[in-house]
Amino acid sequence: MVQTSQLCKAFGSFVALDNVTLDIGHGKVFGLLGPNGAGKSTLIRTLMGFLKPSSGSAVVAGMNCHSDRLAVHQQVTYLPGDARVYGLMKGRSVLKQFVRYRTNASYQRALEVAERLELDLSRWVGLMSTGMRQKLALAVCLSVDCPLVILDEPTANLDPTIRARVLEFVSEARRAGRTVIFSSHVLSEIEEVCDEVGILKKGQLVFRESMSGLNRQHRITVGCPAGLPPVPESLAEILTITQKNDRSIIETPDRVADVLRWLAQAELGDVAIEPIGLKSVYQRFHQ
Amino acid sequence: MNDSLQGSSRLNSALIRKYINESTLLFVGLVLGVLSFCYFRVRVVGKLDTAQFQQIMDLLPKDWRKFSSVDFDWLVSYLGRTSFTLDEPMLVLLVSAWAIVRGSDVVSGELGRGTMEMFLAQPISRARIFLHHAMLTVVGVIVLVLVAWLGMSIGLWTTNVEETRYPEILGVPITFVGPKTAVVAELFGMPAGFLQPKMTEVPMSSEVDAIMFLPGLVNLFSLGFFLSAFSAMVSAMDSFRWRTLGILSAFYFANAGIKILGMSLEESPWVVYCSIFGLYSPANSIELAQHNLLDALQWVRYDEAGAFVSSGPLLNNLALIGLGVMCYLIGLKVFQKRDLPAPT
Repeated sequence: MVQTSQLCKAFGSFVALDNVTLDIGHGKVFGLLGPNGAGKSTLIRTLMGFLKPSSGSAVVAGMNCHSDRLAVHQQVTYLPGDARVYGLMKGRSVLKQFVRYRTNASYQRALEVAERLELDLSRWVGLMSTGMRQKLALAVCLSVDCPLVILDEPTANLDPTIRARVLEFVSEARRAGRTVIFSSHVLSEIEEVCDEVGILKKGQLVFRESMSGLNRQHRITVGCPAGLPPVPESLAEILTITQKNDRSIIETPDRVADVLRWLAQAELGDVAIEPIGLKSVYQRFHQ
Repeated sequence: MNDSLQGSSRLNSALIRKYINESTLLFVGLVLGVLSFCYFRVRVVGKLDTAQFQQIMDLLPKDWRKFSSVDFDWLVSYLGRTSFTLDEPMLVLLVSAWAIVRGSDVVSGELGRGTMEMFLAQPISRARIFLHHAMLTVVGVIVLVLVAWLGMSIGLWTTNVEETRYPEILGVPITFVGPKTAVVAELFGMPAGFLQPKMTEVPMSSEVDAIMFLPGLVNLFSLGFFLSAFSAMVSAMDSFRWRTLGILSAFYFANAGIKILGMSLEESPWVVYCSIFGLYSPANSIELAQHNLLDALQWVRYDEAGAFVSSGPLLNNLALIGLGVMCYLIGLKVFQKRDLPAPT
């Protein structure tokens, strides 16, 4: 559904995106992680055709994101990171207005989303809180029935109950076979709803993995006074072993059972097994 | 095909509705301002007798004549004085306010408010956005110009002026207005002293036909069109509304200053044409076309000796509209090509 190849975007001497190559399949929820300024929004805005790539290409549904942006926008609904709408209108009028721009948007659906987000549509936008405006933008965005949904920090400014509802919407979109790009700073949200995750650092895509692959990765911390037995050849290539004080920390991307069978040969003290988790991966790149 | 047409017309009406919603308050305010200004301006003309006005004009230093785009003698007439409404800075400012405020909103206004991101995420081409905005702004200019005309016309229809009438002599009705009466009366061999003038009230519309304002109104529209286009072009290049408005204000007042400077420099009349306001001279257009509206179709004005006097109404209007079209095309190209910065 979404492909980028060697995508670069520079603003003068500042490189915001550096050779990002990405492929997001149909019906997947792709989580985009990275600290502020890592290039998440730039990547999304390039996909939306707001920015022209300095080099490389970005394609959505087989169409060039910049030169065919109008056709691309038919396939995409987008929630900006800082969603703002015209202030001198009431919430309901804003929904009506945006629905008129599209043939694949439904006012009824927008009202349903607004209701589930507990949004008061009778209020003037200019008098809405930041969270309410975010809900309104979400209602606008989710009123559209199209194959790709791009959400840039959709849960920012929202309370925990509404955050959970937003995650429900993402899950519903996936069940409906839609592709979702979900940018967030909240690791637990990404872990909860995403099929794949990518981490950006200084404009580069430094990590990309499926959540199922990530969930198979484990860290085993063992106290082994006599030292670890020799690593079998079959595991040597996949294990990362570090020594911290009198403990060995073994990270394995897979095959936990094989690793445990190997460790069983040794005389072990205490053993702790935990999934590596997104937090550890994220901290590996952004400490 | 049908669906596509339907979608297109639905999109067009959605855009028109959006721009009307955004500008209604401003527009209503300006309509009331233009209407009342033009109406009262014409009423004031009716309050001042032509003869008295002539005396005031005669008191002005001769040097001041160069600051008038029209002949002072014509300016004394009711048509001259009412036509000068279109030269009034207040009216020009009201129409310019619409052109500049709306024109500057199209790109940098939306970017500055942060609303462009969600708007452009919809399947609407940038050209459609830009052109619809331009269309609505230009329609607004046209309506304001028509409102100015309406205000002036209502002023003409509702204002009575005092006219000095003289009795019939030898069966010849003589009606002369102003201090020239004595001179003309003497031409007929009649001493002015024995005439007993009679003051009568007549509607100003019998002195001035509102259709005569047409060449001046076209000039006002041309200026409004140019300012709308120039504002839209600057807006398309910028990301901050406040800066766009700053640039446009500087442009506006610098041009006004250059025109005044040019008018004061008799030896260098070309300086006037370094200002966009050098092409704005509505009273002059009306003066030229006072006997025949088609006389407004002049490229250049020459005096009796064949020397250049000024650009003609046709050239002024075509230049303003041509420059405006160019600005719109540049603005459109820039908007289509440019990166859109994230909201700040």
